[in-house]
Amino acid sequence: MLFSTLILIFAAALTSCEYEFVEVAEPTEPMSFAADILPIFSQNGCVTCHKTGGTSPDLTADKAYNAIYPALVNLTTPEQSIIYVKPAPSSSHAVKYTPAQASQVLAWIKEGALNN
Amino acid sequence: MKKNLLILSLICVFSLALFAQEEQAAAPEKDRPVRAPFESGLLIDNQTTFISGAKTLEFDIQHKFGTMDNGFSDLFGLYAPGANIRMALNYVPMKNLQVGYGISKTNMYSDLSVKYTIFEQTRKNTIPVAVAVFANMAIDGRSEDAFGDNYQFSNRMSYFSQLIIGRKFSEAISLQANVSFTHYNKVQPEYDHDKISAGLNGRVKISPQSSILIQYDIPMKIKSISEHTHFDNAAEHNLGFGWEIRTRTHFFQIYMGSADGLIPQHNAMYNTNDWTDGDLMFGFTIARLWSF
Repeated sequence: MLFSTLILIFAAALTSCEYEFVEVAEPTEPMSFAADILPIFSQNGCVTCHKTGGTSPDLTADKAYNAIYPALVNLTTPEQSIIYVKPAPSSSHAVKYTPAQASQVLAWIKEGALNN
Repeated sequence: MKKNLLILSLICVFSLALFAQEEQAAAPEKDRPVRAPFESGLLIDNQTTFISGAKTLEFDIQHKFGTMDNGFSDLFGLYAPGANIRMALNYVPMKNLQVGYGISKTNMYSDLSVKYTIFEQTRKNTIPVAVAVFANMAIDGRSEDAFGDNYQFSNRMSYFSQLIIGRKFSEAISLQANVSFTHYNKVQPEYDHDKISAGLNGRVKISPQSSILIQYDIPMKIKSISEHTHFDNAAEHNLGFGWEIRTRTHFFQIYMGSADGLIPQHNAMYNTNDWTDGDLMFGFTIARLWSF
């Protein structure tokens, strides 16, 4: 009885295995720092810690751009930018980007990390 | 005649007595399981072969702080923002079988688990080792956005199964080895779905209530099951050492470890903390046990 229950649980676990990857569509529109990037920091709760007088970088609306550019941006290899890598979806950072947000941040850096 | 009868009856009585003695000698003595190879079912991040007595309910609070990288600026991780917490209930419905449910802060994992100790080590070495199997199923509880396009509920599922072989070498020293299989249904493109890992854990009992704990888990890099050509995102090894205090109705573990997850599949897949770089953190487990 016990073994059959265990075997059933294992069987159920194995038969429901899937092999999928997280994929998101690339942003089609040009990115705007004010409209697309800045809201991520408040929506995700980054500013709970990264606020004025808190943990660096200061990601509050009026200070965020200067804190991010140029220190945390790598225009030559955008994928290595700290602002993209540190809160990546599979990182161990306290708060992480969703895959779609990560894709937006990367696109914004590739476009030159403009304060637009 | 009377004398003959007496001798005959004496022979009968003696032979019966001898038979009885032989029977007693032939009956094997019962070989009972060793007492408490480990003090509790948890050893920092790992499961042990120990399961509490039947009808025991256990409530665990597990807590890991941030890494010590930042030194005094966040009090060696104690005040770091990335702390992880897991609360869990385990119940032992029958001898050597435990079922449980837990919920973690990281990724809001809800996990359902079952552990069964197939063999217990016995005092006379009729069975020289304890063998247990552990399996769990976790549901990632984050919002749908975390799973990218084409979300389905099954994307949230991950599984972990483990075979544990342990031996109590002496009153003080118990060691166990394990081999595990981890599967995530949906991962980031740079990760593998499957991971095999191996581990070695042990305890050294230093007083009737206290033990020193140690664990080392290795998520293995196996090319034949990998979906990538390089292991750029392979999980780091998980080192942990700590101190356990056990009372009749509680156990308490305080430790330092490198992995930040509180469910085993997360550590096997995503641990980025390398203990050789000093990425260690403080953590503790508090458990309350009730016997019904």
